[in-house]
Amino acid sequence: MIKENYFNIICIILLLSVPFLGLILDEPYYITLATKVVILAIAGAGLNLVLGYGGFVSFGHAAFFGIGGYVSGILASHALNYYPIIEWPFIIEGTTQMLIILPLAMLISGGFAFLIGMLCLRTSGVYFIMITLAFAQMVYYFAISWPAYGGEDGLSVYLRNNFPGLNTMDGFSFFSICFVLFIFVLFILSRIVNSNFGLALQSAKQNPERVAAVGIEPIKVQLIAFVISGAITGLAGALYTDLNRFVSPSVLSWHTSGEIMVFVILGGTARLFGPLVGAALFIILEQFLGGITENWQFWLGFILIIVVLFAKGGIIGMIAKERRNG
Amino acid sequence: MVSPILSIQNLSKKFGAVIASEDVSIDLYQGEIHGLIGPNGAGKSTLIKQISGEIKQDSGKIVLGENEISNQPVFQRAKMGLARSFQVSSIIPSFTVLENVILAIQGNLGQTFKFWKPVSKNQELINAAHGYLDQVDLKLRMSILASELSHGERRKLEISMALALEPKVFLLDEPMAGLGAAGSKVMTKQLAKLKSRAPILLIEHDMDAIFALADRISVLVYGRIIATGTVDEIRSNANVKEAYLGSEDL
Repeated sequence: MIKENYFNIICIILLLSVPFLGLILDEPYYITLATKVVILAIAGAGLNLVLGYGGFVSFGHAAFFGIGGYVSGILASHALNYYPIIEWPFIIEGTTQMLIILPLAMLISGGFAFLIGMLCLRTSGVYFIMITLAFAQMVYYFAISWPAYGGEDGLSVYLRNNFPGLNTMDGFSFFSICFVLFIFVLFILSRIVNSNFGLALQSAKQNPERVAAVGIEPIKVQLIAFVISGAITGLAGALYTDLNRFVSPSVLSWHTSGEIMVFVILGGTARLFGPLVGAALFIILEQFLGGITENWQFWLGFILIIVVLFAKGGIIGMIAKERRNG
Repeated sequence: MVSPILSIQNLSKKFGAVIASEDVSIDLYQGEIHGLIGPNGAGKSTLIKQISGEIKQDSGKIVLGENEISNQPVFQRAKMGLARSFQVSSIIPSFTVLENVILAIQGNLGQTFKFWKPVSKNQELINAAHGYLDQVDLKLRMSILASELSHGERRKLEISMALALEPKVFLLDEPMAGLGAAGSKVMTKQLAKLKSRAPILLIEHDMDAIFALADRISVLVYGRIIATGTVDEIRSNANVKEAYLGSEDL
């Protein structure tokens, strides 16, 4: 067993070595893979706040991922086609500026999280899982049946959005943006988790009656966590659109919710780097086993069962000792 | 006339045909321990839950200080000064003793919605928590996970968390339950100290403890208060003797 902090540093070094290897070997595909891992890890980090620290299983995070993705896609497609989003009563133009798109994606997916959370957090357990799933499916079918932005075919964006001073079409530059955002998100989350708010959130997971009995409204704490969580997952969705230069309703489907959940559980719930480990393992399995057999997900399922049955803290829990917050 | 700190007025609650509380009125004054006793199934737990806000009364009202709290949710009542302990100790198992008390302090001070400063570096909160733990002799155990505490220590932690709320009223649900003779004695001393901070409504099975501690006692039978009075008055009350059939030498 090693300390979790050391383990985290090793994870970062391994992660960074992939795109550098890609540069050296002139294999841009490696860089794309590493970028994908980082983006999915951001999505997982968002979910981890509610699933790991808050203890409520959201099966609807695809909604926030997809909404973030569509915000990015819609804004960019309008800008690239020189066609304003709204012409009346005032003109709102599209944009390809990441510095505008990313905060907006977080704001809008956070707003949706607020609405969905307000309705869902009155329930718990299986009902919470089902109702979050239902809301995500609503958004999914809405996207399919909305012809303005491609409907079922999705929406292509032929250029990545811009970032001041960087050429985002260069894989390594885009990776760097995603990586810095990922570290930034983890830093914010680590502050939140160890703050007064984090104490209340994790307490509400274990004993909501007790939390109410000391004068704290558990649902309010959980709702705020849900909004932060949705906004972070929305950020990942916006980046994912940029990575693929394409967004389609499939990012909104329940498979995406399930995959994000798998990242968190595989890596380790309530562990800061859990989603990174989970997402990395997922992509590695997809690439290597996927090359050998079409049925690679069988092995993913197999590993997931082993982890759930025998490793309570996920893969991080098996390898590293938990760092106490106290 | 002195006005009560906590005033329960004509509280009634039915579950279908079962009467859990019927026209229950209790006044709690500054500086007193008011004992609430009654045989099993008398409706003590339902009454406590109505006072704390987990169950809503059908009729009647509850007044804390100047404010009616009958329709407030649980957390709001706690914020307004109602500190309760639970019949089965209720703590946050995976946090340390210190963190448990800090949770109560931040609840009382309304500091929950601070997202940035780590709790472990918040010296103000930590110092305050040390104070409350000191008062229940639990300071030496403060770095231990609450789940690793003994039963008696959990009881103490709950008292310490109640203290941290700086409440107007303590609502203690069987704090002696499962403590054993020695533990009960320690807790009895603890409660005697506690009443100088705020009046206590004490629900208790342990008759010796309640007769030793309480200034006044109310007896609840089938959801009704059949007697309220001093210890001596209750001891000699014929109705109470009848209710506790077989224990006529109360």
